[in-house]
Amino acid sequence: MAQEGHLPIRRGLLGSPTSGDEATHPEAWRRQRIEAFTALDGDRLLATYRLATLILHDRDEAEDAAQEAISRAWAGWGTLRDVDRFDAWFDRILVNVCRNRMRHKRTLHVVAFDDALELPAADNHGATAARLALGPAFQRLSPDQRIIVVLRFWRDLSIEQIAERLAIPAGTAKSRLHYALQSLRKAIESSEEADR
Amino acid sequence: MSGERQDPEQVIRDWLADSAPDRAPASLRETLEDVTTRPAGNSREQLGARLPRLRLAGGIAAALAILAVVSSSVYIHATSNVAGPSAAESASLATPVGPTATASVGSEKQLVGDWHLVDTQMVDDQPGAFSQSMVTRVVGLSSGGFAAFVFDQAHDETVVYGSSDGTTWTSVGVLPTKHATVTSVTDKSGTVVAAGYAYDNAADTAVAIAWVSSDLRTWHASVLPASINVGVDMVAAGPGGFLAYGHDLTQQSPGNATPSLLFWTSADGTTWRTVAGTGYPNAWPYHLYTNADGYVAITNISGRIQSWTSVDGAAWIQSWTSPTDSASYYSIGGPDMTTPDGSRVMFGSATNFSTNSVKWTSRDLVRWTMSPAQITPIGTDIGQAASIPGGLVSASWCDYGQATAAFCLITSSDGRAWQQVPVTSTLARVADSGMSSWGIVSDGAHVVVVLHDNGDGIHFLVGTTLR
Repeated sequence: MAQEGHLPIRRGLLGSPTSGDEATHPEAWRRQRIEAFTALDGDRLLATYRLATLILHDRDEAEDAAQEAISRAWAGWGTLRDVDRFDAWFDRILVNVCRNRMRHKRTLHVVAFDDALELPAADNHGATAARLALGPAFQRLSPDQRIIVVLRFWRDLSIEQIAERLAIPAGTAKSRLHYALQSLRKAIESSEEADR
Repeated sequence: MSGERQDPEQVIRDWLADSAPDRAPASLRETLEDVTTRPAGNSREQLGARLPRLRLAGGIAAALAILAVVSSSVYIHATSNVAGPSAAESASLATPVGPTATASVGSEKQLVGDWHLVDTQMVDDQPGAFSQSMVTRVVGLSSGGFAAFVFDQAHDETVVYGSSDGTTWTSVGVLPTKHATVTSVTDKSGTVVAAGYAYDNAADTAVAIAWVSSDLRTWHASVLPASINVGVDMVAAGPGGFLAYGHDLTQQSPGNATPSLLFWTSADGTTWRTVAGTGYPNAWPYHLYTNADGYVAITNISGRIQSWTSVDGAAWIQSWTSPTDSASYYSIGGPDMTTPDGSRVMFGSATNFSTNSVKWTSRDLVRWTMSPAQITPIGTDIGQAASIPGGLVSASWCDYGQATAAFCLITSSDGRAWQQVPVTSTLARVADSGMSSWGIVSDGAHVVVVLHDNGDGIHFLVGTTLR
């Protein structure tokens, strides 16, 4: 049981970056930030775009989300408390941007699976049918379920790692994955039944 | 090979691998170069976020064209009722003004003042990047004061904090359920009802639960009937008690078509019974309001906004349909907001980005009239707002021109014309940090804006109402 007591509230503070304080060590603070963002170039940038694309299932949206995440991370560098955890911190910003875009999106979200889903030509018929069924099923998942499916099966993160990344209880992560998987399994099984 | 049973998880992995793009667009590298080569001290880097390139208006037109031509091959994802503007959407509404230049805006008497920032390190038990407080719900209570539901990961339980002013918070109680997820909270006549679900790891199932308290300290949990693998989406306090609705967690998610909703009612928040929900259509409620007659569910069916009403939640009738095709208007609903003249207000969005937010006004929460909201001089949108004495206050994302946008506060005395709250050092600091709003609540005397920083820390921006 949590003990009764006052919240350890600090009024007017925005966190204590361990990556150096801009006011006291401005040069080190700026250097660390530039180094971290320069390292994003290349494979890391592609990984960022891939993660956003898989969550949003829309390449244009993913491009915008990745741009927004880079800008937000740059502006919010002061909230990073351990520069060694930059990758996880940046992933979290990206996932949050994607989630916000899905939840707050006020446009009709129309997704055609023409260029987003490219199936290998040598694939067998059953697997192709199953994967085709996954597209609509994935679209029916909630934003949080989509995120968790991608982190689990694309990033290969454990439940605990996902919970940490999303800052949610492990039980919540597990339940979201459980129900998301149930929906996707149904779609796969339905396609298999239809294929028989 | 046909008919061979496949490992679903492997199919998902393969599908994701096939869907992943091979290369990143050049614009990402340009964005990266842009931020890293930006001169130190450039004021633009002090704002929350740069806006992505503009192409939404064309995208919508293309999307609608696709929808019309090949409707069988597209999927429409209906939006949630929370309509916080995306940076890109605000961009098309741009009116170039600087964040500090607008400080002079608002010669009209302010509705809220004394804004200050509260850094809530509620369960910040680990150093490093993750300082997530896991605030799951913050509500302004009709009897005054606030309640926050905070998940304590160390104990796998939800701690309830109370505050009389939004600034000083005290942990006062714990929900008597492990693995609880609180999705909705309401209160009436001193009784607070939280609802959601709890996931049982051992049984690998969830059940819908309502928690009730009269003092925030002692909580009673009730498992709702017939709720295996069901979660509550929303609970509302009506004239005859409480009404909750939820859905089968193994089926559709909110925002998708053809839901199978479940309804429960309770006189006291403790004893619940399932009701049929007879007559209610296959449509997710954008929001569930209550009035003197009972409950009003707002839906969007076949491009028209509809009000469905029920005295007790058991039987529903269609009571109003928007007179014209309102397919262009959605993201409607949100918290019940009342302007000083007694009008009820909800906000929506339009696909036509040449207009600002759409305001829906009603006297009875059933029949609504739509009109554009005039948000000048700021090109922004109304999504999250709260009723306060003398008007409304909204936490928004203001467009400052030069492809830059940041957090801002705007107020209105009538829900139609809005003005930006003068930028104090505290508000500038919030905007500079890149924080965004998760929600805004009020108990009448104070306003609490729940802010989310880039590191996923939770902060409260608290103001005092002035009327």
